[in-house]
Amino acid sequence: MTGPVAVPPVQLSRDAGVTDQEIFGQLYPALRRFAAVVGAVEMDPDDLVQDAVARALAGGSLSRFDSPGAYLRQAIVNAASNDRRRAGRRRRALTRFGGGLTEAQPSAYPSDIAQLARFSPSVRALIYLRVIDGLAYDEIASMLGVSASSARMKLSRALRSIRSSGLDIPSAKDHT
Amino acid sequence: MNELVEVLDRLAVRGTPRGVDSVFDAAVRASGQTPATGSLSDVGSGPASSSIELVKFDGRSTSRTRHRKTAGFVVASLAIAGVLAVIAVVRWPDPVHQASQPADESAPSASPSDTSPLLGVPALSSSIDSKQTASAAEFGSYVAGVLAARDGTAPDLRETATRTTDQGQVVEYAYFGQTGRRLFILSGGPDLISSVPGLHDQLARGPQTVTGRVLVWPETVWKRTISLTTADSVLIISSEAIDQTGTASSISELVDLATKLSAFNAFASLPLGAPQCSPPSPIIGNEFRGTSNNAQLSGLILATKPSMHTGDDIKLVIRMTGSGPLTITATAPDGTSMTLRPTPHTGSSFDRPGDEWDTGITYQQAGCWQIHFERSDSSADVWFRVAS
Repeated sequence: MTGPVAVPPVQLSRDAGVTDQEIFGQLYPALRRFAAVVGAVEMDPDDLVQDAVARALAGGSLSRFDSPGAYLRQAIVNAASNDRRRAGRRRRALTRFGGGLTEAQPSAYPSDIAQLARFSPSVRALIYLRVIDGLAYDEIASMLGVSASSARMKLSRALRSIRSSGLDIPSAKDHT
Repeated sequence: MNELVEVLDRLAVRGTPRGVDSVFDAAVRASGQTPATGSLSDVGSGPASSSIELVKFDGRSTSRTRHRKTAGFVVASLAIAGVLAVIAVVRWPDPVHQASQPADESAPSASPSDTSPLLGVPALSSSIDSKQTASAAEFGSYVAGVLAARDGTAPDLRETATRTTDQGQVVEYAYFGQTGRRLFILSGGPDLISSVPGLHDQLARGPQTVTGRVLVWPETVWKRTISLTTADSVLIISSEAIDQTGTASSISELVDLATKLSAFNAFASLPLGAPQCSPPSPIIGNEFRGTSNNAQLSGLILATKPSMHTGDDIKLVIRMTGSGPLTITATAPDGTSMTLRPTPHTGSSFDRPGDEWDTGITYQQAGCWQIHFERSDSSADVWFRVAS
């Protein structure tokens, strides 16, 4: 049984000499992995990262943030959530106009990835930040804009649901 | 390593990274610091009629266009370069529920219910059901209608033709275009991808990702290409979209349409089951495939719920090649075995190879169940994951 791997969040220098591209260069690998888990499977992780960075840059330099990584992760979750809502609207429109397609098509291939895909982007972010990055609940909470108790409860529910689907997960003590 | 961590790791590395510079440059442009304009015709060869002006050209599409310079557009390039050419009437396998209908080569007279008043095009399913044949152009027309109904603008059919490749492969293709989007649909023989040099490599560029029922090749970021393979034919759908809504992902909807409407068999793209459900046997809709070295096994799961849970009573319909009577043994996750009694069928609309039986099973435990099928000269297995 493998517990969460403690990976300290990347702390970037706020030296005046550090450019936005250098800041982004340090964050990119971790952000891309995060986006790949949080975003829909059919969505390219780089698109999510790019949207998040574009949003951040629209307001000024990345160096203005105390923790650009946290800000960008939150932006990625928001972008993924918007994409999920948009996809839902499309599906419903297709159901109405699509010549007989039904909205409630089951996820036909019972893969383990499909088990995760049914969770919202924010819950997937929660799972990833806790299980893979090993962040504390208060760190996760501030990153995702929720309370620590809410984060703990959501993760607990998600892990319970995953466990009931037959997937082996880290022991409860690792996550509570 | 536990399974959840393994799944998360697998998800985290999906796709081919564009790289720091590419993503950052595109983000800078999208942030409004450096407006960009351009057109698709700038960046590579395509059909002569494929010059599409970009009205919305944000950072994302810029980066995608740039990506296209190196990746190339498989289908368009093949079509334009003349690599592809001549005749094909593609015969798709019968949809399960329609298999008993006689094939009628005459054009179907669509009943009112066959035509969506909003789409203004006949439902493809009606054409396929009655003619039991489909073409790239026919499928494309339907897809164009659906996209038009959804988005309010109709892609135009710019080109449709049948050609023969240098390798003698007969290919039909249809090309649709509109501002910000183009769609290529090709149909050809089952060995099209393997016989045209470089096609597989281009389609398979980057790691493969399982999305829904078929494999989607992540290819370049801004376009989506999928292939659906049957024993008789292959259909390649390539969708490009250049707008701020990321419409390139509409390929997943096209896949839904294809699988729903034309009974394309996507099993060829899915891994077969293996011991310990690594992976479980593939299920598309309610149809599954077995794993065997000397037989073909197809089956239907007749149940009220799409997923399998402890306590569910499931009826299975099985088609299996070979000779002799069938014996079925189910092995529970804890290793206990039970024999299932098969009932032979004399007639059926489940048009798959082999003889047909049905049987029933009640899953008593959660976990991976193995069901072993054995005839005199052949055997096959399936592995199903059952939730609690």
